[in-house]
Amino acid sequence: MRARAAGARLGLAVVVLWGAVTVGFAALQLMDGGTLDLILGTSSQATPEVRRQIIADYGLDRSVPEQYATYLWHVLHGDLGRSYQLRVPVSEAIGDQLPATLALTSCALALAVVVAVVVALLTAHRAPWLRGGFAATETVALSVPQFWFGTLLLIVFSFTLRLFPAAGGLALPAVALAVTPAGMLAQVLRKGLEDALDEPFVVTARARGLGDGAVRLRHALRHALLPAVTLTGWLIGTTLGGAVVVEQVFSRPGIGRLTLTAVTNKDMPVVMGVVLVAALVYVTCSLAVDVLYRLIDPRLRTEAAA
Amino acid sequence: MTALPPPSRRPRVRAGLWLGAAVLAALVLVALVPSLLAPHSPTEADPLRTLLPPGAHHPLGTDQNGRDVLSRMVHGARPSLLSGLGASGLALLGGTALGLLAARGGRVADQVVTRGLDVFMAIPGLLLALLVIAVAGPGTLNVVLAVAVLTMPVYARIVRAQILQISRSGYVEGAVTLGVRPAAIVWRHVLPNALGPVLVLATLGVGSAIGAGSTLSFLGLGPRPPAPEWGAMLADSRGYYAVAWWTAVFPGVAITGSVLAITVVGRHLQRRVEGRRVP
Repeated sequence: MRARAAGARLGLAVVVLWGAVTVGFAALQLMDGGTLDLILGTSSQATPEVRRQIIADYGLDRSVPEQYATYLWHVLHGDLGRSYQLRVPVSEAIGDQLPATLALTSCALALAVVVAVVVALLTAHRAPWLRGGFAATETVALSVPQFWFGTLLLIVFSFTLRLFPAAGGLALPAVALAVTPAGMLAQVLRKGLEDALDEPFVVTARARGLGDGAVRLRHALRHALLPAVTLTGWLIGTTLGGAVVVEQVFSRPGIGRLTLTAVTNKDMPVVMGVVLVAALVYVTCSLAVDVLYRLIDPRLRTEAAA
Repeated sequence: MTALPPPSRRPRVRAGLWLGAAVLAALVLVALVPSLLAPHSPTEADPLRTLLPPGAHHPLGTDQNGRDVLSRMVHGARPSLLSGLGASGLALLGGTALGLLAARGGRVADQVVTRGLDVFMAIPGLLLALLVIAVAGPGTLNVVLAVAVLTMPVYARIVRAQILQISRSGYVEGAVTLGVRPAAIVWRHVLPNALGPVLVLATLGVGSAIGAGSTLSFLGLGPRPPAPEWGAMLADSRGYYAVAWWTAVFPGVAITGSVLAITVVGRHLQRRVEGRRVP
């Protein structure tokens, strides 16, 4: 039973990834101007021999289903094709830039989780002014565009107070990127905590003489974590996407510059590669969320074993 | 033992809601008649008055080309609001069509659409928008299209769930028993009832669409200069952070204020609709 459920999840993950590859391939077919012109770029004075060579190299003379099969086959072997502009394998171009982006994304998410947990623990079911004040702050946090918040941080902390470097630092970009996930997580966590604090088991725990802090930390938080973990799985992908913009604001190297250059130059293999990597991250995270669920909620373990 | 139900009372109309409604009304007003509030031309450059700080003649200062920041901001309201409405409307239309297809089109259609939506949910929104722009090219209309594509899966899922729920309800079963044609049932009974919550969500979606659109404009993928657009204004302000903070601050206030106002008013509508459905 359990193995079947796990198999179904894995199957769904594979279907999603295959779908993402297909979306990328379809996008390439939708391009106007054709792949050949994109590869040749502005140097359209290419001789017929060069054109023939490129057509043969990229397999453009074959039928669309054939090209699709070849593309799928290559992706399966980790080959995302060659960048039209950079003239290097896409996996290499992405591999060079990914560590910087992953560092920024993980810092931002860690910051967001810590802030959200602390805020939710401190404000759930508290005095209206405190709870309302933080709830309003979260709504504002969700309305502020990350790139503009980053700009404000730059103006205040780099250019006016001169506390942080205007380029190269990790702190300010991480804060700018953390605003949105922190706001979302805090909202979900507080809701979960407040629901949990209304449950009978909390009354029992209090009757046993547990203090408020212990009730919140040891009993209510575990319940509130379930929806928050699901949200975090989704947020990882979204934050990775947000990093593209924040990197631009802070002139950081990373996937952002690579992707934007590729988008403006219609360097489709790179755009598709980035999309695929993001989808892979998302799928991995949702599988990890399933595992985490079982760790957090013992009821799921017994149900699966029964 | 269960928790006591909260005391029933009329929801208080809070100060935040009034503020949000006022901002929204102001936004619509300046979008309709920008000349009412804009003291200068939004595009006319003046090389002698570049990067002037806020003052009597230019309340919010001037930018690097000597254009009045307030006037550009005011004229930027219409494109932002229109693109937000357009993207949200387009996403609503597409999402409703997909949701309807999934819910009423048989098992194969349901599987294909639901798995397709899974794929679109797996790609981070901004990257999906960038993929659309890579294919369609930059520009105002393509930004609207990209933002619509990135928000559509949510609408499709909710429409599907709503239709499935309503299709099981007593009055639809009654209509089936009476021999009403399936198309008429969907059109006259299912859709009007399924769309309520989705319409409210679309209202909220206008706000996030404005935010997403301005982000794409900031990345230089939106309208061509010198069109006054909030995201593009913020992109222009890069490089002047140290000397002219006003070019980088006020357009962002406009974006945040608009998104916030729409969110606050939309959430209020959402609560009222949900309150009516769950007595």
